[in-house]
Amino acid sequence: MRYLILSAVVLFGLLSISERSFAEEKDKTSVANKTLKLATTTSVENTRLIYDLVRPF
Amino acid sequence: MCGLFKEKFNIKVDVIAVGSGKALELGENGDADIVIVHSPVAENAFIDYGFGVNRLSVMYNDFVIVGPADDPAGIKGETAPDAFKKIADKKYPFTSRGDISGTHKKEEEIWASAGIKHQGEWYIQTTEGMGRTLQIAQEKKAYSLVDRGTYIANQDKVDLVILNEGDSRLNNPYSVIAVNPARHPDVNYIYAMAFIGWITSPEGQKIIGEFNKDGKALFNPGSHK
Repeated sequence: MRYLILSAVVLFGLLSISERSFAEEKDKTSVANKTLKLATTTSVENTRLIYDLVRPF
Repeated sequence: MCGLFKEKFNIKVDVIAVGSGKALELGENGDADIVIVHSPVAENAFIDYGFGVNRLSVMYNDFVIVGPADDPAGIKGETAPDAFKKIADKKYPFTSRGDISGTHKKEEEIWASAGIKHQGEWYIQTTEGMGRTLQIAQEKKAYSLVDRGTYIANQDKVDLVILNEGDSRLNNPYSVIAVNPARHPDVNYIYAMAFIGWITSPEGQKIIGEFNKDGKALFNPGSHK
């Protein structure tokens, strides 16, 4: 019985670690992907329109 | 109004500001996910060669020919090619971007319409952005071709005035184009399409329409004409 409880605790621990690693990895991926590279003309940059459209202050 | 796209989608946007020719080159090489450009002929080639997909009109303004207020070449009221011809015939200084930007390509179209091969000391190639090109025009008392938005944005820094405008050849449409994920599987196509959807939506178009300097509109919304 004691071995059964111990095994359950170890298994639970391992599952928690694995789940957290997966979540962290997933989060890293989603942050990495959340960047859009926009090449635009100097006229849009010069007038600062692009700041209003995409850049947070 | 600031940074609404990021606020709405939580997507960071890295902006690379270059001429249209260079922007399309970045797209061609997969170094950008999306481009906003104003060079219709080069855009057609970009799409035809399969580098870009889903082009939509996003906004427009027009080009104007600016120069010294006393207009020594007398270009007021002329068509754009005739104005260029007068400048070239009298060898008045003209500053050109000279950088395969959308503005430079439009300028070359007008020189070609005028049947002029520009050569000589009067024709000054800056290979700089439009703001700097206007400053050089100011220093040299030269004429120059500029999009109206950039002129308005720089109007308080130069004494140059608009001398020629209104010719339909001076129309200046801007497009937004996603880089083709079939060519470059690593591009962020989903967010590129989110950006295209947003900038051409009533919300994005409203921001463009309301954008102004001292009450003067710099661009007109162009997606739902």
